Amino acid sequence: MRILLRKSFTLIELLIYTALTTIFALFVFGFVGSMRQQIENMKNLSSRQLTVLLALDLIKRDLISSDMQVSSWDKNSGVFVKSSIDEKSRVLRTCIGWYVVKNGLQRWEGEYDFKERRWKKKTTSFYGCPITQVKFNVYTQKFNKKYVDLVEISYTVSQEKQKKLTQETEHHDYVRLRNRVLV
Amino acid sequence: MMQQRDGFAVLLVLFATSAVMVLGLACWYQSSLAFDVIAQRERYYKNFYDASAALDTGLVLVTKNFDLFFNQLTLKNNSSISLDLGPVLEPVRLKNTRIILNIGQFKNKTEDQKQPKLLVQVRLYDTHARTSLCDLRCLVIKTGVKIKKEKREKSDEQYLVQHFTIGNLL
Repeated sequence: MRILLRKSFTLIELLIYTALTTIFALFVFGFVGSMRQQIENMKNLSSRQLTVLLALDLIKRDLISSDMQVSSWDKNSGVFVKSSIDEKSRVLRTCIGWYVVKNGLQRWEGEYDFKERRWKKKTTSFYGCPITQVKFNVYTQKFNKKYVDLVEISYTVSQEKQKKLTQETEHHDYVRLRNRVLV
Repeated sequence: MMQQRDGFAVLLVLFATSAVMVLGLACWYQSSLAFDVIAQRERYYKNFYDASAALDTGLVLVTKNFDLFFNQLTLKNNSSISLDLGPVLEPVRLKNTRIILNIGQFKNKTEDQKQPKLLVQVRLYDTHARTSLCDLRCLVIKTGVKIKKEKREKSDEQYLVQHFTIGNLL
């Protein structure tokens, strides 16, 4: 009888092992569950949507630090001035324009003549995405019309169905300028 | 007695293998996040909005005490005043980060110097990795224009925020 008892676990041992296994299993399932949630979130965004999202991020990053003076905007062509400052108080002004080209967007950066409405000097960069039209609508402040407050980005995205470009959907997004009036 | 020892050894091996497996999975998960665009984007916006909230707090502080900061910097010829915004922004602050607000003189000779200006900078600093996570800068200009608001006896001073710059951002 004694020999038989020695060969098996005691009740306390069994309880300890069960408790340890349960804690360990809970830990593993918690980790796997959180990972599965992350993967699900990532899957929800298709690669096409992702390229549009990233293109909009780039546009918004430019718009957020654009100049608030109305004179720094060419409302028809969507060109605006973006000025930045470094730690040594040096101010850098540059003009930015976003244009739709075949299979994507082009960002023009350089010098722009706002009177003659033409580019004097520019460098271009291309970003591939399914955006087929982009337009900026500029809204000025209620009390002071010479300052831009909000910019609406209107853009259309081509939809792909069975590897064929069919319909286009229009979207709107808004960006509030960080250069602003504080009272 | 030997069988009992064997049983314990098997359990120990199982436990050790599982622990190594979990560690391995955790490492793989972390490294895969580093190459994922969405995860990077989420990190970018987290840092940006934290720094942006800190800058807004800094702007309130600067506009309320503009003359004090301006005179202090001009009279003593200091290049900048640094403040730790960590305690103020405790709820939004990320782990192992410091939020530093720098208020400095604007020393550009080509720009108009008639209006008093202050350079405001917010830096989100990772104390663990010792790197700057986000750096936002702007210029605060005191216009001298006073605007009277409704239901208020005192008129408020108008300030302009210009040259908003997103510096290095990780």
